[in-house]
Amino acid sequence: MTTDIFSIKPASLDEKSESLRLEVREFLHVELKERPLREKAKSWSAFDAEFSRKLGRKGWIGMTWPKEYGGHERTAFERYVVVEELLAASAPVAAHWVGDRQTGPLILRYGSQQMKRSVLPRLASAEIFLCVGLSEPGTGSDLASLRTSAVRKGRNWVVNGTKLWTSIAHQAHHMVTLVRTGNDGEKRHNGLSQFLIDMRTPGITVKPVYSMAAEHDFNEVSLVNVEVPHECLIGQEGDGWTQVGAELAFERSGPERYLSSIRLLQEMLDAAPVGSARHAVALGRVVAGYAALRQMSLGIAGMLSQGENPALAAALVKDVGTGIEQQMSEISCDLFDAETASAGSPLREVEKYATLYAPTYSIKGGSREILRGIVARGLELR
Amino acid sequence: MANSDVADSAQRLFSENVNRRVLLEFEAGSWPVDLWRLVDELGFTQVLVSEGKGGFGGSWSDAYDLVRIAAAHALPLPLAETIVAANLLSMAGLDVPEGPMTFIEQGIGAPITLLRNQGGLQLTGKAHAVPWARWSRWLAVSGELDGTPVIALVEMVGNGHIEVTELANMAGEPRDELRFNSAPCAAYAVWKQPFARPAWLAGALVRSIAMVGALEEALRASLSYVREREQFGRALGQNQAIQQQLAAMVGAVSGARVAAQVAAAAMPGPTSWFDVAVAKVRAGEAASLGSAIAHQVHGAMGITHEYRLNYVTRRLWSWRRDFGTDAQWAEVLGNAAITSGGDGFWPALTARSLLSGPGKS
Repeated sequence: MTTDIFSIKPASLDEKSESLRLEVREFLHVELKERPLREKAKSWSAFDAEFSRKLGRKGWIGMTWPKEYGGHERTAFERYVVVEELLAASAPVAAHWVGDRQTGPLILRYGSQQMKRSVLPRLASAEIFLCVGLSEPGTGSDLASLRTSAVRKGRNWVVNGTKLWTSIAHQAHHMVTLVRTGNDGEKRHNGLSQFLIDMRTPGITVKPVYSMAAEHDFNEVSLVNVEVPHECLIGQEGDGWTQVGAELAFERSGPERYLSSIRLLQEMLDAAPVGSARHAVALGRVVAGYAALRQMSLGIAGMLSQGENPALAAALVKDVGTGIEQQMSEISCDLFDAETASAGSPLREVEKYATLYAPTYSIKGGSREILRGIVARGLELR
Repeated sequence: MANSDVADSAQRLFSENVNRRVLLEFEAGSWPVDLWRLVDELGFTQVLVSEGKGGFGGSWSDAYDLVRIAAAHALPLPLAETIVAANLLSMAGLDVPEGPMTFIEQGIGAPITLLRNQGGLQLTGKAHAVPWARWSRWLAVSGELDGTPVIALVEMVGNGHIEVTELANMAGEPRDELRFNSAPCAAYAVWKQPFARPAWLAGALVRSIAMVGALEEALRASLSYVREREQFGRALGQNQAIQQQLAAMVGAVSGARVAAQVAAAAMPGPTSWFDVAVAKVRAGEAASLGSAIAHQVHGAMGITHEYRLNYVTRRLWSWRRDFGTDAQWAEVLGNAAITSGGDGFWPALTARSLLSGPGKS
């Protein structure tokens, strides 16, 4: 039956991972005590370089990577526990998030020995941060239509174009940049390659793009005659599309797919009157959603660690998870009137962020429609 | 018998024997006695009975496969009910009798009292929506006697102290009302397991699993239909509007399946009340969404009595209500989460310890 490819094998965490959980909780309890609520509300969009460095010193970034490259050779489940505890505590993880989740594994898999040696240890210690340049002003869901180009010039490549919606580009040291290096006529997916570009290279300009929450999360990055050494090409020329596909499987199934708004759930649980059936039913449905998604996400982590590629199941986690995230601000608005959720109350403060960020959840990392299209392809409908 | 053997033989038996004729005769009010004999001979009903009591000594993961596959075929028999009743009796240390069985939980939809009488037990009161009661030979009762949890066995056939009002759900499955008038129990034993209200818990679990099986069948039928049916010169499934709906259904089914598998794997255990609550909520929600989508993509064809889809969707709509609606279970979960508060919630979620018993709803 075609739907078997969507199967998720339930996984349970071993004792070693559970004892690590207690250590992480204790650490976060101390570290995040004084952190203001409005910062917690931003969840994994919040940037704090010093906090990331502390995690690096604890050995909680690049946990599964080989020691040779600055990693710690821990299990996928140990990493899973650290990641879910960070999210549950609304820790500011934006600085190292992308490097730890997708770019590090990408470099580990496709990068040259030299790139692995020079980049991975500094990612694991949070000495450097990365951003990812995929989308462009004319290119969103149809990623292969991108126009930023790289042209070979001796030992270098010359990059020209504009990247948009690039999170933390103004704070990152390098940008993984998807560009067109060739033109294969009909097969437009073939001529794409990725480079790891140093943000200090002449010709790069970063301009802020403010979100409707009045936050500086995104940037526009323009590249004008940016000369990039050939060594910065990730893997082989023309492999860019395959690399991005593999990266997104990691991006789509993690616990951040349902935990981004946990601060709002926690505020709702504190604000809900004990014994109110109306509140209990609505919040109980969210709790059931959290528990089911956690089992899905954990199952996929287990499958990834066994070398399986549950890309389709990962797409489901993002689709189901963002659905729950987006309901949360609606539920909050339904359950709590203007008096309970008065302007300035903790609930209202957190709800504001959850509401303003909610639309992005089903857009970034593959829009809902694109993900469902991927699922439909898995169902052999297209 | 290994896990895959149970699944394979169930798959074979039900595909060969649960056909339209059997389902129509069942809905016309007849008990498919030949089919019951086949199911019974293969020992499916004894899957959760210990080997010492003459059963299989299987796990809830074996039962998961049986209940899921039976539901996918709309098996018109009290297989899940007999599995649960036999399990309750076996776990209480009682002998497991032959024949179809059902079960009730005192207090939840069953206001009954248990009284001692001349060394035995007597049952008085009412029970609502008892599945398959009219065709069950035995009834397992989970309840309390002087504050102590017990499992009692009542013989249904020829018992003049039980009045059966025959009622049914929209799939034609018996959901009878029982009135007990000092009905004698054939046997009883103290329930010594560390979890309360075991019949209600197991009932919610088997219905969650059954909903997963029925949803898988509704999905299979939908995919097959949209690949074959052509409109506007191409297969329906090539329309993005259809693809997007089916993808959403796959997501809901997948979440319900993982939740049911996790609950079955841990049953019975300290996390079971939480796991089953999650499974029943997610299965109920997926049943609502999945039935609607399956019918939408089937168009008018799906609503005919002749087409097979309605045999699973009518069950899905009915099973949402059995052993607690998804809203009732959500309320229990929500009350526990509100009591745990914002700080206590996450540790309880990761430990799956949010509920340790039936809770308050």
